[in-house]
Amino acid sequence: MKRFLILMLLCITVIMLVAGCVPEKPVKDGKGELAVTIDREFTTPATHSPLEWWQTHHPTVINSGDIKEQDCLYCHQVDRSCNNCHGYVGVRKIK
Amino acid sequence: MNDAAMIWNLFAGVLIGLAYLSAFAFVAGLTLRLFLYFKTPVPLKIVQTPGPKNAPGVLARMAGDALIFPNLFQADKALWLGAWLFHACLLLIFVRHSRYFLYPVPELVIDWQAISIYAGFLFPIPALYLLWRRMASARVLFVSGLPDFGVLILLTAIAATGMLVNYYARAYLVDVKAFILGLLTLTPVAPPQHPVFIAHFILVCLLLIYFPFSKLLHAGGIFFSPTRNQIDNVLYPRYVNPWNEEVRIDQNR
Ligand code: HEC
Ligand code: HEC
Repeated sequence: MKRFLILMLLCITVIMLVAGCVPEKPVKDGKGELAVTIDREFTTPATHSPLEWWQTHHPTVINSGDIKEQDCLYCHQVDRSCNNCHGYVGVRKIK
Repeated sequence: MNDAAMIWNLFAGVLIGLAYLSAFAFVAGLTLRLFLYFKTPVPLKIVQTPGPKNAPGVLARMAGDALIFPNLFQADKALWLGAWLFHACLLLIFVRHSRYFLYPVPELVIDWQAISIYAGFLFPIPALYLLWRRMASARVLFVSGLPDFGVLILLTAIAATGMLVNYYARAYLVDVKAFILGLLTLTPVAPPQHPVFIAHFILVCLLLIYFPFSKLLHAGGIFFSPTRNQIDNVLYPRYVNPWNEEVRIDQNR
């Protein structure tokens, strides 16, 4: 029993340590190192509306060829508002 | 807080509870069952010829058994193809899912995604074949019980909801991953409000709870098959009867 408790305690400590390395999820103007930021001068284009739809469907739109990846980079900087989020979910990086 | 939000919070709490319950059932059940396998005495050498003569040989044989099912290949070619594809798809799907659980995501998993996604499309074919096979022949039907069908149907339902979540009713992966990482780091957050994702998730929880107590445990049990994991060395050591009388041999005669 004592050994079991020690093992449990050890597991929980390891989980806590690992948890410390997991950042906040990437959110627009959110907290943490992965926060998505876009320069103020750019307004949200019509393609992004509604935003919930765009968040889940921008891969489909790009993969279908309707909009090119390069066109996004007019407003977005890859490491501040593409690849930080892609790194979180494990999608290939935008170049 | 209005009623809808309250009900949602309650439901999210129940779901998180279910997740931890199933994780506990899976880990504890698996440990217990494998421990029992491990403790079961195997007093006799019953290694199947041609047996491996040393430990690396056993390792190679077990790896072969687990990866390409050679015995099944000899017995039934069609079933072998179905079963092998089924398991290969499961492996690829599992590898692809690791990106929802790991942070940072390994490069290899990202590179493999393009291939792995086809496993999702392919999976229903061997799954439906295995299901059909159980009903097509009277002999197989006779030895099939409810669990045999149940497990195939459960896995197919998980695959179906998974494909839906990825293609037709896309869930927002950022929220999904935040939910999963929250569970894993013991700081749970509410799941995304996405019915198909929630269905997928509940089905997987049921699978986790059921796994250690079902035939699915052949995944671990295969490594405990005495005919396959023993070293064929019965004839090598010299056994000396400990109560033999000492025999004096006169060297000078
Ligand atoms: C005209 C400038 C502009 C262009 C071009 C543009 N975006 Fe955006 N994008 C924005 C702004 C501004 C936001 C923030 C929207 C908000 O918070 O309401 C945004 C938000 C997003 C988000 C959501 C981020 C989050 O954290 O929720 C994604 C994903 C995104 N854009 C992808 C793309 C992709 C992919 C393209 C190319 C097809 C693209 N954007 C082209 C300006 C642009
Ligand atoms: C807030 C998070 C977020 C941001 C910001 C974001 N994406 Fe994505 N991206 C995703 C998600 C989630 C997926 C889908 C992953 C999946 O379903 O497999 C995705 C997928 C993609 C894909 C498809 C990749 C593939 O291999 O099929 C492309 C292309 C893409 N994003 C382009 C962009 C571009 C360009 C930007 C920057 C302008 C951007 N994304 C910004 C979250 C984001």
